[in-house]
Amino acid sequence: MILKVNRSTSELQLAWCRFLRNRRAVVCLWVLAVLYTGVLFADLIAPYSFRTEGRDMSYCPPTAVHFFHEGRPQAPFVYGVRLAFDQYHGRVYEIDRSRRYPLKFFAAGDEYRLFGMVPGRLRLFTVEKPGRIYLLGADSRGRDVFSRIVYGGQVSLTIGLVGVAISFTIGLLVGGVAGYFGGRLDDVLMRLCEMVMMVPGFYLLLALRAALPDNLTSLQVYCAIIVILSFIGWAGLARVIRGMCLSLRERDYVLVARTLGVSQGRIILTHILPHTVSYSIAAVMLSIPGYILGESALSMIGLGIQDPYASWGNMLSEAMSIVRIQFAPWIMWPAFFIFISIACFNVVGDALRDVLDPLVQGREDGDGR
Amino acid sequence: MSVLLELRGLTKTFHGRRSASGPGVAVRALGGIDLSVASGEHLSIVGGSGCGKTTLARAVLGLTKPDSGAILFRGNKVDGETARLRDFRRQARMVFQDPFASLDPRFSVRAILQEALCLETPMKAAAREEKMRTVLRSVELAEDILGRYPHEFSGGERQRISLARALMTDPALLILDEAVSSVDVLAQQKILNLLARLQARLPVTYIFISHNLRAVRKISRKIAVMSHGRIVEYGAVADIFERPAHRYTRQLLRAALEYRCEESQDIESSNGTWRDIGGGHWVLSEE
Repeated sequence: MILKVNRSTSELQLAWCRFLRNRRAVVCLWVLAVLYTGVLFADLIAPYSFRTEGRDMSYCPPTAVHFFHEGRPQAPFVYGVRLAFDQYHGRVYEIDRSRRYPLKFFAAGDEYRLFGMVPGRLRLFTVEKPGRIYLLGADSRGRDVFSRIVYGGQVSLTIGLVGVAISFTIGLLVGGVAGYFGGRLDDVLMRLCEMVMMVPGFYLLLALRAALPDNLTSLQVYCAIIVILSFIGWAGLARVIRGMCLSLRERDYVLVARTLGVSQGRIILTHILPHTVSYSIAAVMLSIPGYILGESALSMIGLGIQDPYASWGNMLSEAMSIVRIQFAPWIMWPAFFIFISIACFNVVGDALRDVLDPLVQGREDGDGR
Repeated sequence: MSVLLELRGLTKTFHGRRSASGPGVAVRALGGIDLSVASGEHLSIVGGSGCGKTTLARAVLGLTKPDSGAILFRGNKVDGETARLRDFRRQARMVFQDPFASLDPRFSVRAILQEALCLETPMKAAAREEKMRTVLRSVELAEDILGRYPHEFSGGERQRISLARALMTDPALLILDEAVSSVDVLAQQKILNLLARLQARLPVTYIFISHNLRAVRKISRKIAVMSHGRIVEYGAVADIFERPAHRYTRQLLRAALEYRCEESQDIESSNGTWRDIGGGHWVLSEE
């Protein structure tokens, strides 16, 4: 790609242009964009609410959407299903071809409050009652796995962002102050970091969660998980940022700023920390998976988000039994979404690190990935 | 002429990092510097690498805290008291050696110039813009570069931006630390001419730190020769170039102007007494 420089470009804009040349990373960024847009408008996209149960449809397999009925093309519809027992007395769902339920787009469904404020009933697609559509199957209580994944993403995907925002703010400030001022303050802050880093992460998670009362509301649990994950996450970053600041504070433009009389806080914020951005952006991207996994792990063992609220982790707690996975493999779908989002964050993070690190810039100019 | 800047017995010793094997090596960068610079003066400080020139400049501007000694600006001590320090910071500006390192690559020219105004009383946006344009004109740069970033400029242009930043507050003292040594000879010449023109127009005092003796000879009026953290000779340009009195000065001049060098003549000029050898030409005589 030829970069047209007909107006002034800053370093970050140049890096962005280099990033766009990495096709794999761009694809992953789009996947992430789709995922985040999806969970942002979960109320519109999910056909059912995360708590709409259908007890008679427990572990109903994924519903197929049909376009032909007896050889004739039709508007998309689903067949009704009927619970039956096979010769081993196992539960099976038989398709009942006599009952057809056409898909209704932009129709009224379960009630919701969009962004917690705007009340509405509009759903992207749904089927006429009593028919039900389970795109990715149903869980033990007959709740739609697809809807729950979309709603669960609201927790799983945002916990990473909010957690990273908090821990990086702490990490950048602690690292920046320790690195810029040095001396005794540096010693104290770095020993503190080491103490946090010394404790094995997952056990610290469990201990911190155990220290909190267990009768919290779902929102309180959400905040608690974020705080716990952030508490673990900041120390590693602070150490690296501190090391970078030690060298950055000797740069000429920092010295110039000091002779100009710029205050030290402002020097740290305008001349030091922005230069750690290339590292931080990549580190942010590469550390979000840790938060997603942390939330999943906590929720899966029952310490995180509680039923009926959905998160990818607590949906997987149903998949802890091998028998259930054999009987209803579709309850593993949340794991697929965890995998996809983590993989995308890693690819994007790697690509960002490549384009932002001045030392490797020459390298990837040659290959036309 | 009134004295603008006066240094009294400035010393600074750098201590190497202590390790398990014993205390680190101590390097004496400034071994008692006494110097006074008159208003409107153009003083050059010359000397070999590692003689303490840059440490001296940094100590004057408070980037390095001297071990002892005093810095007086217009007769007032500048360390400590904040109001006086703020005034000094507005009045004394420095241009650094490396034009590629002294401009923050994430700052546009506008942001770079604005930062220099951080101690001034806030002025209206239009007035600030006008000030920036005036200063850019005075360093012979186009006025429409305010929105551009340092990486779009050549070394010489960057050095002019640095100079423009230093001139934003109409300083009384400008310290140029090897300000022209990292650009090519043509750009050097242009900047030197520019400095000369600026001084003709503005009441600014230069301290020009350099090892480029030809440039020094051309543009400065006084020279201080530094060696091993001491000033070993001080006087008018013509005096120093015509009758260098100190052994180190002679060696330096011979190397610079005739490209000749006597081997193994490392001069340790740590002690000695000052002697006036006529016409304000001072030399540190070796006993």
